[in-house]
Amino acid sequence: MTVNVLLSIRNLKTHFFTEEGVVQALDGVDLEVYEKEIIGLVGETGSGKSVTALSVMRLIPQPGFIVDGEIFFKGKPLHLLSEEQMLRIRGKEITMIFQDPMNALNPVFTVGNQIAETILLHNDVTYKEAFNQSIELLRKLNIPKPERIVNSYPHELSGGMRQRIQIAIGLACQPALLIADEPTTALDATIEVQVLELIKKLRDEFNTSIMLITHDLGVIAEMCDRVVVMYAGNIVEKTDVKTIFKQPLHPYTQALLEAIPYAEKKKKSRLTTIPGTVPNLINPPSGCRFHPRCKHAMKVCKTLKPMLLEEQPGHFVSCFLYSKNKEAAESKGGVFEPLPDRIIY
Amino acid sequence: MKGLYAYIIRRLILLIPVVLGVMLITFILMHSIPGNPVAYLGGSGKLPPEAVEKLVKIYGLDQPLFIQFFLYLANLFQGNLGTSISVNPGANITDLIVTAFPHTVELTIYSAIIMILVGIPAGVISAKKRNSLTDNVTRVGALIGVSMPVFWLGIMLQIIFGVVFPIFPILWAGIHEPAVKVTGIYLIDGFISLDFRTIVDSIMHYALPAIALGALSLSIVTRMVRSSMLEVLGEDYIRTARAKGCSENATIYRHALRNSLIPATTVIGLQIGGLLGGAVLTETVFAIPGIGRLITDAIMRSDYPLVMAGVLFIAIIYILSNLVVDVLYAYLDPRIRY
Amino acid sequence: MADDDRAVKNKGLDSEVFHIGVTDLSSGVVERTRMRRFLDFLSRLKNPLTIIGIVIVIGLILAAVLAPFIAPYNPIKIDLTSKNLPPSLDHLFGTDGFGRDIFSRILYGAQISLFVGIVSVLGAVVVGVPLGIFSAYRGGYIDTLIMRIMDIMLAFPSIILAIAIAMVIGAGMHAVTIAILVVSVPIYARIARGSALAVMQETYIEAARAIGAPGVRIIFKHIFPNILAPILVEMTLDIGSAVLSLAGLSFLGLGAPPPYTYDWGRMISDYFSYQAVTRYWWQLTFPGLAIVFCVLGWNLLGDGLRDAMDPKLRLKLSKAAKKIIKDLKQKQHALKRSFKSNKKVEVVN
Repeated sequence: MTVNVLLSIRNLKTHFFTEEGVVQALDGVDLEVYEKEIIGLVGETGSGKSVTALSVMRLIPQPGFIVDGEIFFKGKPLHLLSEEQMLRIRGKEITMIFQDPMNALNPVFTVGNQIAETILLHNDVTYKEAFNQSIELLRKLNIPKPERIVNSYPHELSGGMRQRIQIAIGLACQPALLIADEPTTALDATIEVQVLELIKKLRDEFNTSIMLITHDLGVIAEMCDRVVVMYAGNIVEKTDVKTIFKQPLHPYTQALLEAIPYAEKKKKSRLTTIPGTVPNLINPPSGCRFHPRCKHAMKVCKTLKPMLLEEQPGHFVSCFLYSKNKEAAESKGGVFEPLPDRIIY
Repeated sequence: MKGLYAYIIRRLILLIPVVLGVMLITFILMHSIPGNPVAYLGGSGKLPPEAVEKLVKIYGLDQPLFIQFFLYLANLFQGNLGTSISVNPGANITDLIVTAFPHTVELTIYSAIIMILVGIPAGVISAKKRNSLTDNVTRVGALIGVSMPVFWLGIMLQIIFGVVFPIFPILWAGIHEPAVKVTGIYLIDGFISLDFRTIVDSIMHYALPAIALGALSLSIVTRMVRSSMLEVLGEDYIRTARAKGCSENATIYRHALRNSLIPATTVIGLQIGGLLGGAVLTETVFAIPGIGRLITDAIMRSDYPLVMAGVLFIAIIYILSNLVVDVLYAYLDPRIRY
Repeated sequence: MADDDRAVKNKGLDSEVFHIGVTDLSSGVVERTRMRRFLDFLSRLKNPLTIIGIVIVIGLILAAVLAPFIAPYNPIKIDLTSKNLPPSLDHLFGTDGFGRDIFSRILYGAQISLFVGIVSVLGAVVVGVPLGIFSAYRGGYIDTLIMRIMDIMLAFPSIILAIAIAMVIGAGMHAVTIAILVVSVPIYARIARGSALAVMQETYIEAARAIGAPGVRIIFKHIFPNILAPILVEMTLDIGSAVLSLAGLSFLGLGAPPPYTYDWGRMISDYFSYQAVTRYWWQLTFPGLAIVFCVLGWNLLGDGLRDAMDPKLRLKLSKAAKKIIKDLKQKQHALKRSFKSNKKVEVVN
């Protein structure tokens, strides 16, 4: 597989200017999506997964703004495009589907109408053609009785079906990138499997790259080629899916993996949790944002901010425990002693 | 659409107890008036004793109360609302109301048009340009609008547009009678008989009262549309629409407007009641010979049967217009029909 | 984590943003004292419109209380030597057909408007809230019956029902007050019933009822903190509409009887004539303006209270943030322009 970069995000900073203060929701995110790959974004609530996706779509709600950084999609700088130019990209080249299938579809229009709308927006066809195309699309997605489904209103369909309709809307114009923001969180386990299968099929049939946002590492293991772990607006680790499970480097990733209940390891091993909570991003911790919750926190973690550096080929991590960051920190005079005044949870 | 018809029929059946309840309330109010009904019917000395006796018989005033109620209902369903005692002694109230009603309808229609055609766009624009100057001006204007007494605004309009700038007549000078009288509503009859003088007369006579009457409801509708639009704009499906590539206008007018009109419809329905109630005051200020004016006259002269008949009539019109609004609601929101 | 995530997501994008901002604060919320929350609430009232509302309401109360001391003339004393005088320094708002000073009459009129407004709304709460709670508590056909009666009352346009009731009771201040009170009862009954039903769903209430604890008392105890806020907002707004209803009823001749002829609505009603419209505008204008200000004051206050109680509604940026955004937009704009001129080909693609 040749690796062509489809989307590349450089040092993205998105902040929300609220009354309480400036929320630094993204603090320098670096990431790229290759063609025909499924990349997973994983992290706790508030880690910046969704904000990253919305920044790419340029759909950050007020009072949020991209303050710094670059987003290149097929060579086009998304962060600089005008709203009109963005309209031609959204829905056609990049689409996004959302978590909650209950509210993501407009309740007053039939689903066929809503799929056809996307086709109509980006192609020079009549409404009737667009409508027929949407029936065809549903058939391609193996949705039973597409002729009947297109004439239903969202409230007449089940949650899984609505999520499939959302996917159909997302695929209507065969985009190069599909961003799925927790597409299965609100679904039952059996339906979740079906929807995930469908998403996987898309990559094979439509050659779409998929950015899958989730907090479920099981989904990541099942679906993704590469994984990006986010914490408090930073990427802490970025590598392929096998490495992340076999050899996680960042303490946060390790903690996340320990928090998964495994059926096999029932013997005595207690389910571990990560102490503390996601930090307040108005006033984030200095240095490494994870240091207040980190087992291995050192003095340097409080004073310097680690960078996302390639520790092993294809394995990026931002932590002072590892050589590249260590060297960088030593040259700046970081002190590598355990942090004395840590709050033990 | 099949669901829609079933829905309408269901609503119609549900109306029956409400209408009966409204009739019961007016009946109770009638009988709570201090003194013997016979006394107030004949007491003013405006009716001859034989007539009073006849009334006692018709209404069964010598019978127990619940029988009286059924007699009252029987009379109502025959279209008999009773007899006026002092506004137009001895006149059949039904006739008085039928003559006056078209004026009230015409005024209400004008005001409703203003309310809908100005209120909805104002609310939408205000929400679209949230926190802008336009928005702030609209909001303050709407706030003042909900704080103004209808009759006072009418008087102020009379002073400004009738006296200072004498554009509109301030008193009811009578509208040129159209050749064809079908509905009794001048504007409609004017169009039917293609009589321009009637149309212009109608607009001139109803412009100020309609603005005065519509201002309050207009402000309420604007506020409601604005807030429900803002709420809808925060919904997930709006984000979906944007993610599809809908422009700002397409998002607002195609995806958000219809959804935000769903709650606004309820308010518009309630405002029709407000318009009918306000018509009582407006018609008094502008001397329009509608039902409101009839009720005011009846209040001034203590014509209890006429007041109660007018109250009952307006309540029933209000209930029926709300039925129409409910149907519209079901049309707008496919979730309701089932 | 999963549950937390889901709950937030369901509320849509805004709440997520909100969540990102205050995740850490949320743990602190529990520790916040009542006092602290009250202070926060007060600080949220610092909105220019709300402050105007508070000033107007306080001004009205002062006018009503101090009318006997600050009014320059006796509001009901007839002085035929100074009939129909236009506004001047002597008579700020002019005089009426009997030579009475309109300014003084308006000051005194505040007494009537405030009295009727506040008493009728308080009365409606005192009747409506227990009725709603009782209805929810009893359930069954009693609940149905009470709520149907409320529905039927709401089936009348409110001013129309108020006219009928005032008419039956007979002219007088008490008649108008009772009429407005009765008409507002269904609103409070509904609010109270809704909250009562919600509270009764709580397990502890069910448990208390199951072991035969005096349920009504428990419900009252738990419901009051819950409905206090919405009721307070509704009351504030309702005082405004009660003043409007009073004005309407007075205009129709159902309002205050003599000697309370200085009621605002009644003044307009009494002065309203062809002559006044064409020549004595001040007689009609100032009493009406008094009504507008009074109602506006209560409405502004009510809106302010509601917004302060529901911080979600507001999306206001701090001054510093506004400046950052402005700079940012300029920067982006400049970048875009430079970009357009240099690499046009790439954008068009």
